[in-house]
This record gives sequence, C-alpha cells and structure tokens, in this order.
Amino acid sequence: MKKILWVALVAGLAAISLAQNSALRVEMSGVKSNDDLGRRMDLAARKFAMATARLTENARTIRHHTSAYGYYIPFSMPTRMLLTKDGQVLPGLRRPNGGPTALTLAFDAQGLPRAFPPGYQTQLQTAFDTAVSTINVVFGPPSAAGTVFVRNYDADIGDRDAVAGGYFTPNNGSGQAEIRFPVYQNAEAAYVNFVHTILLAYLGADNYAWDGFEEGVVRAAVMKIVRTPGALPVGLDPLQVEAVLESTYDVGPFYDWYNQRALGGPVFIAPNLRDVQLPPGGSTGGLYLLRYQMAGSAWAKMLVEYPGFIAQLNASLYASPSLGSDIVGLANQCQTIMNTLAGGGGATVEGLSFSNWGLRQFILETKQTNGAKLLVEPVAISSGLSGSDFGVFNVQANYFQTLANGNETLLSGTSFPIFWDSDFSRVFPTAQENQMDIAGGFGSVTPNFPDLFAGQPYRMTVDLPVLDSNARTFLPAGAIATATNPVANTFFGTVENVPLQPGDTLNVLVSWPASAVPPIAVTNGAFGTLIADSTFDVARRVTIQVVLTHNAVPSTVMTRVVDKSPGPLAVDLRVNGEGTYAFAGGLPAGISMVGFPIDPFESYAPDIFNVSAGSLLLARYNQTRTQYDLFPDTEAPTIGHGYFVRLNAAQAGFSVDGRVNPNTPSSVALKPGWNMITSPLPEQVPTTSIKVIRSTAIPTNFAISAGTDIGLDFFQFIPGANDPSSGVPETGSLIPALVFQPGVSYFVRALAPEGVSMLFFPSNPQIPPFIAHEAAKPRNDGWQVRFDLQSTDRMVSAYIGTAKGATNGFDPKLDSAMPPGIGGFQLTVTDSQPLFRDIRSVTSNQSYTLRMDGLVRGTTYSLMPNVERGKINKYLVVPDRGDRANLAITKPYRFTATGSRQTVKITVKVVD
Amino acid sequence: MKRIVILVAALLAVVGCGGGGGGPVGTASIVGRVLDIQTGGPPSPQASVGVPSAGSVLTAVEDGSFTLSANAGSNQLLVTSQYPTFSFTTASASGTTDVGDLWIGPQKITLNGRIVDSATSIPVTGAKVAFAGVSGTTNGSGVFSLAGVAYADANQASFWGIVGVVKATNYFDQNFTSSPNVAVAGVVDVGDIIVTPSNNTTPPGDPFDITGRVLPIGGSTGAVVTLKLGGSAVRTFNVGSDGVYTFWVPAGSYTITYAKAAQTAPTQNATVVQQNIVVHVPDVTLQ
Repeated sequence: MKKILWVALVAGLAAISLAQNSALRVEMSGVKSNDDLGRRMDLAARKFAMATARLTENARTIRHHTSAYGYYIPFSMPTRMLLTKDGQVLPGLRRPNGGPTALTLAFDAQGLPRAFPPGYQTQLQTAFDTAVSTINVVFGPPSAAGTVFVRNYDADIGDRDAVAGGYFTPNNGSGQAEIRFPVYQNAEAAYVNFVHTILLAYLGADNYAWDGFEEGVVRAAVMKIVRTPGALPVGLDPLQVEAVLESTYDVGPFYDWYNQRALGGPVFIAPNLRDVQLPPGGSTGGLYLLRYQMAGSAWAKMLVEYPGFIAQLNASLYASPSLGSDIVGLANQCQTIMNTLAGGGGATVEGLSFSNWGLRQFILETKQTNGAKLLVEPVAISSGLSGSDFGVFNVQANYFQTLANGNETLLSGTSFPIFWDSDFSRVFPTAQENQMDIAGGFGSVTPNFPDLFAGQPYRMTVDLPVLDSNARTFLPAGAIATATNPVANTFFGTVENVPLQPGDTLNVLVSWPASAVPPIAVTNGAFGTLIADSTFDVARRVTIQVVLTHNAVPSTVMTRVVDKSPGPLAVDLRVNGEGTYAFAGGLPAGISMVGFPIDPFESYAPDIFNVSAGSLLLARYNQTRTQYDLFPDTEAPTIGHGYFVRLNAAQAGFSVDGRVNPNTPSSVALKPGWNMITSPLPEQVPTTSIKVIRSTAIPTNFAISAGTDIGLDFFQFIPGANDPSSGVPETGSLIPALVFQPGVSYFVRALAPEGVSMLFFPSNPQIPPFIAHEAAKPRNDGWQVRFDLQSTDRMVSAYIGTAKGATNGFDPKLDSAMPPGIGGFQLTVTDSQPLFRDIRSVTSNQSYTLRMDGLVRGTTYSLMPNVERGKINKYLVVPDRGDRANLAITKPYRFTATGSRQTVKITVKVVD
Repeated sequence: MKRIVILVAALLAVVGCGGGGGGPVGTASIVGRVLDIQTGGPPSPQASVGVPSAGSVLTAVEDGSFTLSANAGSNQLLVTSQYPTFSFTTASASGTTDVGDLWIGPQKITLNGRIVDSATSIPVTGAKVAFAGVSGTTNGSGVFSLAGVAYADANQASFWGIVGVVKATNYFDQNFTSSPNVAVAGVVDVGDIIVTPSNNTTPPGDPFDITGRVLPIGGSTGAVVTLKLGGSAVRTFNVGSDGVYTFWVPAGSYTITYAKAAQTAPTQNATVVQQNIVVHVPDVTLQ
C-alpha cells in the first residue's frame, strides 16, 4: 500500500503552485500510511466543518427565525482539499491532449468501508446523470478527463451539527480524484451539496486564488444549475432546494444592504479562525456565512445577463491555469468574455464595465486590508407581525480586526445605535434597542420602528457607532410588511440624496421587457409595493429609475440596472451617490494630513495613493493604543477619517473615485480621546451645521457639546519648512480650525468616555427647512489673550486667560488640550499638561509658560499678543535665554532662536 | 424562627430611625436581573433573591428581573436556585438601586486579569472591575481576581457574551469580555485589559518607525541627527531637550550620524524591515 502511495506521488504532472484561497491543505510529509493520511484529511475536514458551523451559528439561527424554512436544512460547506508534498500541491487528473473531457463517477463496491447504502448511491448517481448536461452548459466541461471516486464520509463525522458537506480532493495521495461525501437525510440538501462537490471536481487541480472568485463562481453555478428544472432529479421539491440555497448560498433580495467593505479580502475565514477549533458549546457571530452568500449572489448577477459566462471563464482558466492568480488578467478576461457573449465590445453588467462593476462589489476585493472592521447586517422581519409592528428589523453588528498576518480578532464593545427618521430626528424605539453589547465580534438589536407618518413608509437611517467605526444602513420602515398590512411587498427600498421642495414628488419606476408596473410613490425616502407579475419573481435584469416631479415637470434623477435573484428585491437608491473627489491642490510632497469626504471604491491604500505598498507612509492616530497605526496596520481609507501621509513627490491632481453623500447628513464616530477625522461631505461644513450625539442622549449642537462631550478646539495640520536633507516638509504645526473643509483632516478630541458621533449637515439637505443651530454665547468675564508665534512664512497660536468658574486645573469647558502633535513648529502652554488654551481662575495672578518648538537657530521670530477679552495694557516676558521684557500689549516680543525649543513665561497686567 | 428574626430586624430598623444613630436608616428598593449562564435567559425554575437575614423574592419568569425591599445600606445579595448559592456584593442600597445582571450557573470560577495603561504599559492600581455581577479592585500589580463567577463547562456562549467593565480614575471606562478563554482548573484568565488615559493629553509626537535618544539628556539639545540611505542624507532631525529623535521612512537599511558643534557620537545602523515595525536605535552619547 505504501509503495502505491509514493508511486502515485512521484508520477504524473509537475506539482502545482499553492493558491491563496481557502482550500484545505494537508501536508504529506511524515505520513506513515494511507490510513494515516486518510485520518489527517478527515481531521482537517472535520475541523473546518466545526469551525464554519460555529462561526456561522448565530447568523443561521437569526436567518431561520425570519425564514419560512425550518431548521431541518443541515448546515453544509462543501470544500476542496489539496494534498501537498513539501509545500507543493499534488497533481490532479491529466488533461487529455485534445478531445473532449468528461468525468465518470465510481463508487466503492458494497461491503467495502467507504461504500454508500445502495439507495443513496443510486440517488447520487441519478443526481449527477440528471444534472450533468446543465452542469456542462453552466460551468463548462471539466478541466480534465477521468474517474472521480465518490466515497462515504459519513462515519467520520463526529458532530452532527457540523456536516462538512463533503469535500473534493484532486489527488487523494493514491493518485485518485475523490469526493468524500456524507449521507444526508434531506434529499434536496444532498442534491445541492453533491452538485457543489461535482463542480469542485470539474475545476480539478485548477483554481481561482481568492475566495471571492472560487467560492463565488462555484456557488453561483450551483444555484443556476439546481434551479434549472431539467437538472432536478424526479421527486425532489424545488421549494426545498430553494430553502437549501437560502440557507447558505444566496442573500436573496438583500444584496444592496450587505454590500459593505468589511466583506472584502482574499479569504472568507481567516486562518486563525479556520484552524482553531472552538470549544464545545462555543459559538460566535460573524459575517462568514454572509461572505459565502454574497460571493454566490455577486456572480449570480453575472449569470443573469451572461448565462454562459462561468463556462467561458473556466475554459480560460483551464487553458491558462496561471490566470487564476492574476487579478488583472482575470478582470481583462472577464470583460473579453462579456464582449464575446454580447457579440461586441463595450459589454456591461448592471450597466457597468467589468472593472467598474467589480470595484463596486466589496465581496470581490482580493487584497487584504487591516484594522478594525464593522459591518451592519439588517434582517427584515416580515412574518408573524402583530400589534404596533410597523418596521421590525433585526440589526446585527459584525465587529472584528484584521491583522497584518491575515488573522482576524473578534472584537467586543458597546454601540449606542442611532436611529434617524427621514427628517434626521433621532428616534428611540424602545430602551433595549438603545444599546448594543458586542461580544465575540457580534451584537444585535431588534427595533420596531414606529408608525411616524400615519401609515406611510419612511426611511430610517441607522448609524452603528463602535469606538471610531461607524456602519450606516438605510432601512425602509413600513415598506415591507406591517401588522396591518401583513402581506410582504416584493419590491421595496430607500432613496437618498434628493432634496425636495414643497410640492415635489418622488417616484420609483421598475421595468423589464413587457413589464407594466405603475410608478411607485416614494414617501419620506422609502417605498414598497407588491408586484403581482410572475415574471418579476425570477432572476432577471430590471431597470430602476427615480423620477422627481417639480412644478409638474418630471425628470429622471437616477437610472440603475439591477440583476436580481429569484423572489423579492430590496434596493438602496443613492441618487448622485457616486463621484470623483479631486482634493484641492492635490497632495503635497512631504508630510501632510488628508481626510476623505468620499468612500473610496478601492480599499487598498497603496492603490488609492498611487504609491507602492513598500513605500507608502500612512498613519492614523489610535487613541486606544496611544500610538499611530502605521501602514500596513492602518485601516482601509474610510470616509470621514483623516490620515497622515508622506509622499516623495507631490500629486497635483490627486483624486479618488467612490461613494459620496451629497445632500444627506452624514455621521463620523469618535472614540474617547484624540481622533483624526474630516467632514464626510464633499463640501465645507461649519460647526453650526454639526450635531454631537452621545450614547442615548438627544443630539446637541456642536457649540453646546464643546467642552463637555467634545473638545473645545479642533486642529488642522500645516506642513512646516523643508527638511534640509529630503527637501520636503517632514514636520509641521497644528493650528486651531473653525470649519471642517473637505479633504482636510482634523484632530478632534472626544471627552465622553463612551465616545461620540458627529452628524454633519450639508448646506442643501434633503430634509425640510434646516434650522440653524444656536451659536455659543461669548463670555464677558475675565480675560483672554491669543499669542501668535510668527516667522516669515508660518504662524501658530496658543491662548491664555482667566474666566469665572475656571480652576487652575484642566477645565474641559474652558481649557483645550494640544492634539497628538506631529512635531515641528508649535506653541504650547506647558505649566501643567500641554495645552492649546489655558484658562485659569480669575483670582489667580500667575505666569503662563509658553513653549515654542520647531524653531530654527538664527531665525528671528515674533510673539504677538492679541487681546480677545478683558482689558490688558502690558505683559511681562521672562525667557529661558536672554533678557526679560516688559512690553505694551500692542507690541510683539521679538527674539532670535538659539535652539529648536525655547520657553518664555508670560505675565499680563490687567487694567482694573 | 425566621418570622421572629424578621420582626426583630424590623424593630431594630424602627429603633434606628428614631434614634438617628449609627448605621443606615430607612428602606431601599433593589432592582436587577438574574440570568442563567447556561441559557443566557432567566432562571427556570425561578431563582430566589434575598438579603441575608431579611426577605427574598422570586425572579420574574419572563426576564429574570426582581425588585427587593431591603434596609438602606444593604450590599449583599444571595441568589438561590437549582445551582449552588451565589453571593453578590453590590453597591450599598439607597433609594432605588439597580444592581444590574447577576449571573448564576452550575459552576463557579475565578476570573483573573490585569489592567494596563495603554500609553505606558504600566499596570493600573485601584481599578474597579465588574463582571457577571461580581466586582473587585486591582492590586498594586494591576491584577484583579473575581471569585465566584458563574460558569458552565457545557456552554460558553453566554459566558463569552457577558460584557464586563473596568472603571479607573483618570481613564476612560473600558468594556471587555472573556471570549475566547475557557476555564482551566476553575480559573478563566482574560489576560491584559488595556485602558486609555482620559487626562493624558501629552502629544505622542509624530509618526515614526525609527527612534532613539542622544545623551546626555539636556546636553544634546540642538544636536543634529542625520539619516542616510546609501550614503546620502534623507532626513534631518534637530534634537530637543528630551534627547529623542524620530524618523518616518520606508523600509531600507539606514545609517545615522550625530553632531553638535564639535561633538559627535558613533554612527548607528537602522534597518526598517517594514514600515509598521518600529526600530529602536540604542542610545548614543555625544563626545
């Protein structure tokens, strides 16, 4: 036996290079026998099955609660196992030298340990025989020709809750391609999963290097095949097949809701979570099931428009296996296939070229990004409604961190969900929905959004802030099903970014060939309707338009093409929601601080900044660590967040493509302490147009929150003088800011221990007449002087003073701390802690120590006082070097620097 | 006998009210919720919550909640159920006091951990830690040990879902969970819990991946540190009074030179393997 094993190993084709996807791998080094190898393979499969079962348990439980289908659908995750020898994958079946390829199934004879019960073997063979012609059309012919052995894996399954779903190995160590498959009680589950493993056998030893492609292509093809009537064996129930697909393959109507950045990455289950078996009884949340489903649904969209797409793509892969790990080549090939199938160039999917379409499907992101990630996963509750149920949703949070090595850490925390009605007034459904505890990466609440508009649907904007992450989703309250209208609508959604004038109306049109759906009224940003047309129920391409009628003149403000799955459809229609943001002045050479008012399509920072990964210097301050996160540990550049970036050369035309939120108030979450943030809107936002939200409190104006929940001052960065060696600025200064400019990053300090959210209002909001926020009342007690430290080309400032009620310690309402500095030219009050504004008791008569950093020896500076409050006629300067000076308050103190850092003590003389 | 004890206690309370002496006076209302660690839901059968030497009430069937009248100042609760009796030390009752969620289960474990300052990595003394209704305070080494925490070997899902909280003076509150740790010999060790200073506004300086110090501190002020790549200067840093210098550069093998007037220090090498891994260069002394 052993001899056969090793002969098989050395025979055949050259070894295949390793791919990155989630295929299981078993190393043969040290294997003692075929039995030993078999045990290792089964152990790997069991571990994978156990891990995936528990990682998806919460998600499945919640889905089952909201599904018409029951718990009888076994969880299964068919996979592929590659045997390696010294790291090289063993070869699979031989490709024929020309001629057709076909696979033949072989089962162990009855009586052998791996034989199936006779009836079950017949069932599997019948499934293959019935589906094979459809498989060949949808998935294309197999990559190789030969026999695939199908063996009973059931006895090796230790945990009945964690059925592996079977696995395929292109070479089982004896040179055989083999499917190991369980014995399902549920015939439809057996059918779906067997087709899945057959498709894996069709791929053979070829593969796509990323789960978004490999899992997605196979799952989409499985859905297409098993939904084809002619491929369904006699006696199987199509509804039960649909239930299996709903369980683990298809996100159904909700693709728009789940298409979020946190899904992306080269693999769906991080190595640490896949390999470490969770203890009995343990389960956790996560977006793992969602990732598999979204991948299947993404490629299913492609099949709606191009049924032969996957067959062509696979043929390309078999012809050139290296294509599977060449993302640029794959993207080009996808476009070529679309063009071929469309019969001409410029073919589109959902109205976009492949590269543009791919950029918008986060699940197809193949590059790893790191940092904390948050995904909000709403599930509409549309059955069993009663009483005042109007808009019931289960809102789940998946919160985790990706590390540089690809591992994922499931995070814990607390979120205070913020529910905004269509007027952006905060809604508090019930007390228990006001707080979401997140543990083990998962948390959820189930609010019932109340009937606020006399039965009319409305758009509920849900912000889920966790520390400095915020996930937002738009939900159509009252648009799907309510207690009084329990029959669920089949087409529903939300519309954003359309400012309405009095008398304006908004409608949604949905059409497809020969359709006749009347316009659907949008009320308060939401809509829902029951489309009584069976041709809408199937997977198909539909065109959706948003029509604004102003002064009785209709105009189409948005047109979107959607490839829907069978059944209902939910859409999130963001009018003018995409664009290119050109950063004013581009990015300078050297160090600068940049903020994103746009949600980039790209996730990978080097692609966004057009700098190679090895050269990119990108940093974001992390108050939790009290350090900067440095690339590649930094998060994917995020809307509303700010970063330090250091470039060798200026990028004058720096721009970013992505999603924008014109006309819609947008949120940024802040963790306690210093945060680097920016306006999430592509326009300047004054503080009078910002509200601050703390935990379960009613939103307050910025001016009122300043000094209580949020720092009194916020700062922007000004690059300093050129470094004599590099020739570009390597340091700079932090100066106070008055407004939030788009593209500019600011240091803002959250004082509330649970953090805060800031809601930025656009100048032309889509909500009813915007009410100006009240301004802070000026003080008229004590005194305040701003000192400006000036050189020939730069200026920085700090404040000193007194006020009623102030103490000589740190008063959040009055004093203002220096943000985490970048070094360079800076003026700071340093008697206690570094302060930008130091306001003390009115009875104190102290000196204030001003520290000046970033001075250049031999350069002359001036320190100019500016009285902002009170009456002052003189000030005394006592420098650490040089002579003291008693000056009129209108005169600057001038000095020539003798070092990079100097201090002066200032005492002012107040006129009684 | 029990009735007599209650009567005596009531009389003492009345006497206490009239005399105005010593301990707390009056009654308080204690509210909270008892949860089963095995199910994450209310105890079934119901649990009994009581104050030692006083009355008790049954938890609500639907959600495990309870409302208990007790002498003001009471700070001990006993929960009896199908499981071993659990004792909880709470805040002293006054008016209406919410004691939060009290977890019970078939086993009791000790929850250990350490509270560490995020800025300095120094253990935090005197931090208050609460988990599953049990609370404690960190010792001089920042270590806490909460005994009598509910646990179930058969199911850690609820245990992992409990959100504990750390409160320490001059730090932001910090939540934590025990996930994915399990009990070993009756102990669950959650390791280090990092807390963030709320009053530390000291700027951490600029982003860097190379850092070092030029000695003597103070005496090196004004020293010029030059970073070179392949013999060419790529960055210059003017040392301040703390002697620290930093550079933010891509991966590469660099050399560092030091000069202040006629003084110099030995040239150092710094290899940045990846730009998120900080290289700490040994201290140098000007001579």
